[in-house]
Parts: sequence; C-alpha cells; structure tokens
Amino acid sequence: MSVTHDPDRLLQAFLEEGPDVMPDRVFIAIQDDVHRLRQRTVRGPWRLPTMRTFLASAAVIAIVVAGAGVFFASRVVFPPTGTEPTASPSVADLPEPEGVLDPGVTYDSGSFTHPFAFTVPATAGTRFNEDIWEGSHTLRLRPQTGGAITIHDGQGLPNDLCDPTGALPDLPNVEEWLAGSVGLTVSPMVQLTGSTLSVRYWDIELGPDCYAGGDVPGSPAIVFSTGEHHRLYEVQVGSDAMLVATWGRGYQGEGDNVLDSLNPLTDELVRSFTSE
Amino acid sequence: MLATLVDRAQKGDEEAFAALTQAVGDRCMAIAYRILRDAGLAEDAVQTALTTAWRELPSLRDHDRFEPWLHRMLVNVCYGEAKRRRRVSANVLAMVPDALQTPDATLTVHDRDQLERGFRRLSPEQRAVLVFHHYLGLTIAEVADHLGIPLGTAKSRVRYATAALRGALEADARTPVNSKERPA
Repeated sequence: MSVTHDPDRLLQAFLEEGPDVMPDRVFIAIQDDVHRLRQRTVRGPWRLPTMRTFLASAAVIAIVVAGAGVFFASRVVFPPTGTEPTASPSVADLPEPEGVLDPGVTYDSGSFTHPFAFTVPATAGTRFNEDIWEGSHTLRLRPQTGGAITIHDGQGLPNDLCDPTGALPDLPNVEEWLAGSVGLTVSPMVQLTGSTLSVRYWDIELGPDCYAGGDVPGSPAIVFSTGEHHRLYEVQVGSDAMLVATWGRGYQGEGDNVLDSLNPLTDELVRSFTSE
Repeated sequence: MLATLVDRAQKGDEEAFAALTQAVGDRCMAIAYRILRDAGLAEDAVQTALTTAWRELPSLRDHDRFEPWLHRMLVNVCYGEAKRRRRVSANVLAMVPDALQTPDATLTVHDRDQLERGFRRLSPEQRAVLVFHHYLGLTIAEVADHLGIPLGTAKSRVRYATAALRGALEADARTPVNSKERPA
C-alpha cells in the first residue's frame, strides 16, 4: 500500500470517502413533500408592466369610483364634522420615479425584489436618470448638487469591492464583504438613526492596488476604482438587505468633494425609506 | 436539459421536479455528508433543501443558475443542522462507520482519524468551502459564487481551513502517537 504525506492529497482522499448517492427513501420523502406542499406564489412586480396598462387600469378604477360616488352621494347624508378625514396614501397612490423627482414627494421603488418607498429630501432637487440595470435591481438618483446615489436590491454586485472578478447573486453581509475585500480603507460602522428601517453605513476608500479598469466578468452593476471614496449603506428590508452607494469621483469624472454634500443628503434619503 | 426541467417544475410540474431531484440529488447528498460528516443528518438536509427548493422555485429568475441556487440553500440547511448537532455530542461516534464505507488506500487509519478530528474542529462555513473547492473541484471564484459569499471571504476561509488541517496533520506527526514510523 502506498502512503502519501502530502496534506492536499490526504485531504482530497479524505473527502472522496463517504456516501455520494441519495438513498431512495430520501427521494420518496421529497416526492411526498412536493405533492403535499404548494409552491410559493411570487408577487408580481410593484410597478405595473407598462404605463399604458397602468393608465388603462387607473382610468377604469377612476370611472368605477366616480360612478359609485355619484350613486351614493344621491342617497347618503353625511353627518356634519369639524374636520375632513385624512386618508393615508396606499402604495398604489405613489408615483413612479421617472424624469425629474420633486423634493418632498414620496415615490415607489419600481419593480425591486424588495419594494420600498422613498421620499426625495426637501432640501435639494433630485434628478432621476432612468437607468435601471440588471432587470430592475438598481435605481440611480442624480442630485442636482452633483454625484449620484445608487440603490441595489443586492443582485449583480461585485464579489470583491477592491478586486472584482465576478458578480454576486445576493447581497452578502456588508461588514463581511468589506472585510473580505482586501485593499480598502474602511471607517468604523455607523448605525444611522432616525430611520424606520435598520440602516448602517461605512465610508470606504479604495487603495492603490484596487481595480483600475478593464472588463469584469459577470458585468457587476457597480465597479469601484482605485482612489475613489464611497459611502455604503446596508438597509435591512424584512429578512433581506439592500445596498445604497454614493458616488463622487467615480461618477462621470466628478470629484469626491461632492461627497461632502452628497453623503448627508443620502443619509436623509435613506432615512425616508419605508417598506411594506 | 436541467434548465428545461427547472422551467417545467417552476410551473408546478411535479414530474419534472422528480426528474430534477434525481439529477441533482446524489451531488447534494455528497455535499451534505461531507459538510456534516453524518449520513442521517445529511439525508435530512437534502430533503429539507430540495423541499424548500420546490416551494421557492417560482422565485428563481435565472434557470441556468438552479444548481448554485440549490447548493446555497443546501449549505444553509447544513449550517443549521450543524448547529443543532453541536448539542448532540453522541452523534460523533456514529459517523465513523460511514467514513469507512469506501476506504481510500492513500489514507492510513491514523491519517483519517486525524483529518476527521481536524475537520470537525472547523466551522461549517470552512468545511463548506473545502468541500466545494477540494471535492467538487470548483475554483475559489466558483466557490464564492455557489455559496453566495464575497471572493475575499472564500479565499480567506479556504486558506484558514487548509492551514488548520495541515496543522492538525503536522502537529500529529510530531507527537509520540506517530511513533510507529520510528524503528522499534
């Protein structure tokens, strides 16, 4: 019997041992479960498929509501009240982010995996450039004061922030992601206060050995470059998380000095996030 | 082929899912056993992962990514099983016969024992990267993709786990237990 002391070979031989066939009883048990369990129903995208469909549906609803209003108004006498009742806006009432977004207005997130609503900070005008990449998993907001803010539901992000070699299918734990991306200077974590959702953020700087151009396999939704500064927010939505990133120099050659105003603006924007 | 089955199963076709289960079940069993080092727990993990996959299949957007998606689910189930198992220390002895089912001539009983002990000292997350890298033969980037972890994290886990196992073997080589190789 030949015996090796190469640890890699020993490990490989060790891992080769053991069962590698699924027993029939497991297969039968799975089939029983499958027959018994219904598949989860996937909710449709929050954003309606087309504006035309949306308008048509809205028109039908408006006609029905108006008709019902006329019908009941002729029959019902309302008691006098001192104040008008205030209806809380539902998700369907929220506008979609297109074109110029008005300060103070609340918008829906479009067809994100984790729908959320956000309010444009009243302190600054914000222009939305209709860039939604990766099958509606990224929303980009461009404040008129410079730079950009990108919001990601977690799909298609780079596997390594300093040395990207592919894209991730889901957003990882951001703290672990940052720690695993060697070459970044990362600030201590800050828990953002005043938000209804749990939000924490880090300011990062990409060191001299980080990515400096070229195609990244998998075409991640974002790729940072050496020397850039960004603020990264991890926003907890239900049991999952979204990522928000600020862009100064990395966005169309603008300088990182815009981050002085962009980061507080983004803090305010992220504080406004609400989820169902 | 797999993508076609996924497409049909996603629409509620139970026969297609049965065929999918046949196609991927063996590999799932191999992965789960090697992370958990217990055939019974591995069977439970495979059943849970595939049942969950059936329920969640409508949410899978890219049919070509079924296996990485399933593997990530399986590994997460294994992590949960491993945590539960820590509370049941009696299982440790029950695993040895499984490991000896198909002995490899490369390994001495002593090496196997040391590797088993070293492997058990690793976290389930570290075991998973070793299984995907050394057993399935995936590159580190592919391991990161299958496990849904950053590349840097995968690299560091492989590095640490490999070093820990080497350390276990080398430390053992310096102990009197290994003295059988000395002249009597």
